[in-house]
Amino acid sequence: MEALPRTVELFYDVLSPYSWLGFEILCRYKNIWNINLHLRPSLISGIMKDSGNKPPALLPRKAKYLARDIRLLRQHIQVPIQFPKDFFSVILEKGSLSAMRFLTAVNLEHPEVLEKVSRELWMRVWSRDEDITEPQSILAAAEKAGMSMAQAQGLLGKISTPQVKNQLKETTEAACKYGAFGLPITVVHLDGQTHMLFGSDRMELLAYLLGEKWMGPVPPAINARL
Amino acid sequence: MRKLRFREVEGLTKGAACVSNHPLLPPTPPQGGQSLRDARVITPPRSPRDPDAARQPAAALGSPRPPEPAGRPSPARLRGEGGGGTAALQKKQARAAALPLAARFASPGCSMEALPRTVELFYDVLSPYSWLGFEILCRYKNIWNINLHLRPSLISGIMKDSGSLSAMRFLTAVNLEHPEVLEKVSRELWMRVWSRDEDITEPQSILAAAEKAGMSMAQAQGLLGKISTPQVKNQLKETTEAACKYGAFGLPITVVHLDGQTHMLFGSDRMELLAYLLGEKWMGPVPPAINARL
Repeated sequence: MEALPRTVELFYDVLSPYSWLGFEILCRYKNIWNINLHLRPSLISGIMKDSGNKPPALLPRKAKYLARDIRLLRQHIQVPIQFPKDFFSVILEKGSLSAMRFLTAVNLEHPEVLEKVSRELWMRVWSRDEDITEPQSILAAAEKAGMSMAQAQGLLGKISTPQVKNQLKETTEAACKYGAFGLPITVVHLDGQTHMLFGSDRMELLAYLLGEKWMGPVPPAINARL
Repeated sequence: MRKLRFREVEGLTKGAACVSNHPLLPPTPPQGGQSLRDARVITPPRSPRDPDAARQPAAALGSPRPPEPAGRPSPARLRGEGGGGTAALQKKQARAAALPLAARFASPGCSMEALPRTVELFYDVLSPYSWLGFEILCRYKNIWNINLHLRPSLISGIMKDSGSLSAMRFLTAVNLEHPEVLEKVSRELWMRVWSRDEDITEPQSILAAAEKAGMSMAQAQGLLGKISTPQVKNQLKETTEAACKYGAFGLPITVVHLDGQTHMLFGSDRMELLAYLLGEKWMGPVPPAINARL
């Protein structure tokens, strides 16, 4: 008897480095564990505002720690993540509104490429220190993810429509309703219960809740289910 | 069966397998310069239904000490074998046996006797995550090749918070005069405040914890009488300042000293990363009890 896959939601923002780490780990495990992974593009600035929290990097010692932590996790989790040179400008001034609206549009019309486009946006801002706010930047990421220029431009044209704006707002509010005070959050639905886990470092605990095997952040693909 | 150091296993499987799901850049070779092509070690087969992964029964707190001669626990359990010889020699042999063939002969400075690495844990009993990190490290201190140094600190000295001043001063005094019971007394204080919701500020409370940890009333009262001495107050201040110098903005922090580098890890959820840095195997927060391996 084949047990039904459990639903796991990942709420993320491409502005958030730990979101990228959690995303890559879950993408590795989605074909190993008996789960359905639902990606939920959200706005971290909206969650901060709603919860009254502040970006951790605003505390000088946390900012120092973050830089070192990311450098270690780059090796441990095997993701080519790197601090942008002007971190504060990228995070606090430029933000990710257009990018997350674009991903929202992708999720509405071409969800099968959401994972790839999300990744390409992270590769821009959190690996190659490239812009993600300009239309050209977003189109470049979409193209790199395999979308045609026509497709990408079509979606880009929709990012200011009420439908897309409201969807992003709703997803962000859903994260807040789950209790988010930052991102990433992973929400797992299990036997009538819902668990919200904060951070990219709660995946072993997620495995425990799912009754699945944790094989570290870089599981061997030989165990992938067909 | 030869026990592979986890890093080597990870290095082998990473490059071959991890990118097949998605086109990330190829992983960088494992630290130590050992490239995937050079390794001549066979990855032990891993099954998703690995019996080792079965949830362990609730572990008794504190690392269970097997009945054995003084010194580090026999590393024979690392190989699942019994055996004679001194504990120290066995541990050396086990560590050497655990190195892959290539590293044993090829890497310079690879000796039969690896020195234990220093791991410091800065903690305050007021901090619940400190307790979690503490228990995990206590379980691993007899499994990994480390010396665990407990550093009672004041979280209110790091953040502006309410106090655990007397309790942490008491632990500081314990650390100065009876370090061999520091782990147990720390645990008993956590059990009071974070398990049974009991006070830890009153002298009686602290004495009760000390007694439960096996100290005599005389011993405990003696130490309690010293908590307001300059020596104890300054030591706690110094330890807390040391944590701050390492960059702490909260507790727990784990500081590991490795090959001339120092890494500070914040939180109880960085122990798998610690294992990675140490090149040790991570077996989850409740590693199999020592006795189970004999």
